[in-house]
Amino acid sequence: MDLKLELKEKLIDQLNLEEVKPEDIKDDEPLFGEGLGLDSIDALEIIVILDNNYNIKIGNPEEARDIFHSINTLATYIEANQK
Amino acid sequence: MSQQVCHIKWNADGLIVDGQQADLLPHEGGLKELLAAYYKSLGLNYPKFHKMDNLSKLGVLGVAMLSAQYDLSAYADDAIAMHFQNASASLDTDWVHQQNINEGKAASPANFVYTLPNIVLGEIAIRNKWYGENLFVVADSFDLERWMKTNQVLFDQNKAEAVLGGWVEVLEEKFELELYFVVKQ
Repeated sequence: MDLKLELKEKLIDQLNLEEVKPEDIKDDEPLFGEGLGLDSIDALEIIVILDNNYNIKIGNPEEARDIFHSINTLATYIEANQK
Repeated sequence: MSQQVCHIKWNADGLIVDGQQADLLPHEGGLKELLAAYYKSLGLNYPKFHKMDNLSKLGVLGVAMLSAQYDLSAYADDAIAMHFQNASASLDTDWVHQQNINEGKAASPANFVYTLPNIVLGEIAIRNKWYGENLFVVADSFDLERWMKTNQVLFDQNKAEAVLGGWVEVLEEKFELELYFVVKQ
């Protein structure tokens, strides 16, 4: 499965975005704030998704701000760091 | 003195709102699906609802039903106190958290934030933008007389004009809500 679609499905499932469909999430749309409207707890949950599914640990919270910007930035980071 | 102006009782046997009994809404699945059916039925547009644990969902839905019966917007944002009780605290969610740990998974932060029973009060307060007093008590069973006595303390000290609460209990698939709205006389 395409990594971006897989990420969208995992976000919807793990973050309980029950009224959102994968096609509603644009690849370059901000995930936090004005975009998908995720909050700080969701950010922690994404850290867990990366750990459980891709064996990626985010050590520096400042780094997460850029990595979690959009589906595009998340996918790029996973492709570069997946073990 | 206080006056009871609204009463809701909701469990697996049905829903009673101010004495009017109704069957539960049809749904496929368990408690999560039942609560989702009421969310849709009430026409709530509050995506955060889906992130809540079942205890918070039950409380939020109960208050939404009560709001449909009685105009709560007439009160100042700090005039309604919340006072709830239950027997199982947040055990329903605590178990999920413990299970994650036992399985060696990273614990879910979204689940962890609901491992306190009084979070249901926070969710109701956030949704309704209320800033009044709130109290959550863990007890073996609901004692209406004691509940009313505590409310009277709030009224006597001018801490609230009304109290909303009662019993909100969820454990596995069992649930029970007994919601009262009482106003200071």
